Amino acid sequence: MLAVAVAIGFVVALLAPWCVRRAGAVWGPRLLVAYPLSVFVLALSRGYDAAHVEAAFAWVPRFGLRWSVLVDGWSILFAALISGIGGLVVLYGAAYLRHHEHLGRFYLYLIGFMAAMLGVVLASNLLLLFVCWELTSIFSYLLIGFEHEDTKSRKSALQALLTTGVGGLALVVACVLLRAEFGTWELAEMLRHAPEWSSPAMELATIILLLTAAFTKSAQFPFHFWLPSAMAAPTPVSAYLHSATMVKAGVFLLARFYPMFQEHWLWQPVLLVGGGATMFVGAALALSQRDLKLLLAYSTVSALGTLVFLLGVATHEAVAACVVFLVAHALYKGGLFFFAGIVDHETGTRDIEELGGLAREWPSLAVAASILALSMAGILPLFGFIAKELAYEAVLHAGLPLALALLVGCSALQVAVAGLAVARPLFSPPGSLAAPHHSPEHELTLGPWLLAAASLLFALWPRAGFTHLLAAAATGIAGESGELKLALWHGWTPALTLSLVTIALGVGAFLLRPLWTTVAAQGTRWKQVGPAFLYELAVSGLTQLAAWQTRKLQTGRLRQYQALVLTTAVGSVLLALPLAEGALPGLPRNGLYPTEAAVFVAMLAGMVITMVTSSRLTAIVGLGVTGYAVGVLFLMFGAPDLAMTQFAIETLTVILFVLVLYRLPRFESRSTPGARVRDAALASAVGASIAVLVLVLLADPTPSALAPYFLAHSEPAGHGRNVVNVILVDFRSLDTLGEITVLGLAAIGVGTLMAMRGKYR
Amino acid sequence: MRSLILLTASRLLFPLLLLFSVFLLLRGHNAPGGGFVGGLVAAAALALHALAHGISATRSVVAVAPLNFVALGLGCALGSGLVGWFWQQPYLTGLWTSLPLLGKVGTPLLFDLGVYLLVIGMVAHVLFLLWEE
Amino acid sequence: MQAFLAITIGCLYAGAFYLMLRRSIVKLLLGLGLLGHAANLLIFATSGLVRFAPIMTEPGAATPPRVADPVPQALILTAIVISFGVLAFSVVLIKLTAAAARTDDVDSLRTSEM
Repeated sequence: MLAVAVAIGFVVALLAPWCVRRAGAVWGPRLLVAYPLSVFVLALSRGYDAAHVEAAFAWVPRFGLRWSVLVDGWSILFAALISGIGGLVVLYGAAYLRHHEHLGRFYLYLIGFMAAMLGVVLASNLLLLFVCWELTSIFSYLLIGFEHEDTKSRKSALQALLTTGVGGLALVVACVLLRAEFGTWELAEMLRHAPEWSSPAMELATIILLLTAAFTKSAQFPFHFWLPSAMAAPTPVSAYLHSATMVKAGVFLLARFYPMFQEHWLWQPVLLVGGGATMFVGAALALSQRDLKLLLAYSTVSALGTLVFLLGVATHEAVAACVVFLVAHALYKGGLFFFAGIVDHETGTRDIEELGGLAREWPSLAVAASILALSMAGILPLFGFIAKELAYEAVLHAGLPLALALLVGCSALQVAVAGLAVARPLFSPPGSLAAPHHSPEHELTLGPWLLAAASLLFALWPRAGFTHLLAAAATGIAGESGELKLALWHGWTPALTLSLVTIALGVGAFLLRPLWTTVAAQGTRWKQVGPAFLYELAVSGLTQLAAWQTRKLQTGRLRQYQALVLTTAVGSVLLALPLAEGALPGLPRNGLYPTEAAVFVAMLAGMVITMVTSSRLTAIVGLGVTGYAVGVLFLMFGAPDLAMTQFAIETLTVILFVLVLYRLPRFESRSTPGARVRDAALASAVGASIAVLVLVLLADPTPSALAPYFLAHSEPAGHGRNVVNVILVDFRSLDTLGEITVLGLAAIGVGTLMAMRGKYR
Repeated sequence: MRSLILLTASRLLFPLLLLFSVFLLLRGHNAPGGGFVGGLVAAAALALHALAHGISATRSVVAVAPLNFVALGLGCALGSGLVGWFWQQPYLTGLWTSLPLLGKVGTPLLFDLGVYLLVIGMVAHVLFLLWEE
Repeated sequence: MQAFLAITIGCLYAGAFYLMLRRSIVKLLLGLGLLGHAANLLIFATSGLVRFAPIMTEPGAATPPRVADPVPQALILTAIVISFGVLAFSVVLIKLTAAAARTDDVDSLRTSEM
């Protein structure tokens, strides 16, 4: 069922533009919501307690590519997030982009992305996972570049595509290595019996590749730079792809392979350090932003770092905390992006220095936004608080004091960022520019409201079903079940103390922000050596390399092309020569008849005449001598057909040349002696390689395997005794048909050229 | 540059060469020869004729534009493949039968005739065009 | 004999490419013609070279013990005719190019537009 649902998504995506055109910009999206909604219901109606593979059907059986769906708590949780938030985004986008001329295209991309993302999280077949993974990158590219007339938009889109594309390449190689090790493409089977790897090097390579894929996709340091650039996308896209779902695909992947690799020596350090660095860099950079969306983007980077970091802690508790944090983040960050979009849409600016006093204009939205911000800050009684408490507990119990300090520090920065993102625009004195023109539509405010309500309700009444899903997700990751208690109040625990410290630090950071921005302004110099700069360097270097080699190779000079091709040919023969060792002694020696010697001499004499003469007529005669000698050779070695053809053609060639001879330019001596020597050396090298090649061939004359067949069947099947002719007109007549077509085309080509000649006179 | 020797030789050789080319075509299946060689010999005969009598005389001997031979030849070759379809055979399957007077005939002969015509047409087309320059 | 054939083919290739590397466009044409011969010989050499071998089967007779390989021959036969077609086309093309560009120096024929 779910496999079909994913496949249907792509069909719905293709129908979306038509639907929007037919049903209009208001009702079209409302109809399209049916897809995410039904997937949401379908996903949650599955039994996900025991991991199992659902109805698989073959797609490309030859490659082992099947639509097989792995159902467990983890994939179902993700599917619910994708479809649930996706539904809200579909509605929100309708209001946000109502008058956009490419609304249909937007829904094509958006629904297509949704289906691809569902494919990523549900796939059990690694090939299917990879295909969907790449599709999410491509849809992300299309959505970031949605405003394709904007240069910055296109550039950001390309940056995101290239960065995640590198990860995609790493992923496909990792998939192949996994297939080689386990003998199956099915993820479910791999996870079921994670054995000892046959070679540690292969295991290491797989881990590194998977980490690359996950780190690029989830914008982990040092690949974090593409995510803030991706904010060039329309805000619904930022909320959906670049906060709630796609960027979490990396985390998803890491969690999927958690049971297989968590005990590897590389796993924990890389995730802890990489996640920690991302968490810190994201939070620190977020604080110095003025653009509301950038602020949220960097804080998303930080949150993604936290998720990876928690997976790196590698205890069951930390995994559970990771799951809860992921849901909490998806809820509040999605909502806050919706809020940022509304602010941008209604006031025309996203600069928090200019915004202010919006609470008075939009009181109800202000409540929703405040709830979301409080959840982000991790304040009682919201879901974000529970998530943060669980994270603290997990790290505390794992006994990683340094990590704990980092986590607390970053959470404090997140508190300050939450204040900046929401408190500033809502409650600070109104800025000069920011008088909202009109109040937002209901379709715009629906998203933030629902997500805020969810953040509140899940915390106040963590219903059994919901807790069960989260616990099942943690089980799905870790492979073993553990308990998960979601409660607002655990009593006075060390974690609670840490929470209070966090809030105090966060308020401090909020107040000290002016100082921080000054420091950050000093730090802009560091952009010169940052990863974004390195990316630019790599891209421009690549283009320059391409331009350089094009200049060098595509000179437009025919002779240089020839020289290049010939040099390559000689080089490859020289490289392959050692393989032919021992071939030469096997050369059959059956003497040289005087007649044969005479034919060889005639051939070479004709060639020499052609080369040295300064008369065009003599050159043509020389060429003819060589041609007739070749014909005689054919005759001597049992090929009368060839000989006859050769003689006839040679005659006609001489006539052809003589006809045009006096209209052809005279020979002139142009090359310098140095160039002659160089060309002669190159030509001799080619000749020598060919001679060696022929010697090797003759030393081992393997008759073509077809010859006996043709010889045996020529008379009975082909009704002819001239085997060559029977091959031409019967056995291989389709080839001959192609060849005579070429001849006919050559005739037509000559005719056309001659007809054109008047044009250039 | 009319040469008497050439003229005389051409009068004698031209029909002979044409006849020889047909002979090559017909015996090609069992002995050296075939459509390619036959076509080339016929084209060479035309070239000899043009050398001796001039190109316009040759044009009028041939009567139709050489490109028609190309089309006709390609048509013969393509059509010979279609025959097999009537007997539920794959395209270009060789089919043979015995006819009174003619003896054994088959679609490969038709195919070879196509090659023969096409080669004549191709060579003649190119040579005639260059001759008239 | 094999060694001499190999050397001859090598020489033909060398001569053909030397001519093709000249700046005069007519020499390019001659080189192309020579290259055709060389290539046909190369393919022919792969058939194993059987002296005075029949290529026909006698009616009803068993396959003779030493026959020339017919497959390369069939390949070469069409190659000979096609190389004529290509040569004819190149002759006309080069003649027109030289006339249009008013030069027969390959090095000064660099632009693709007239």
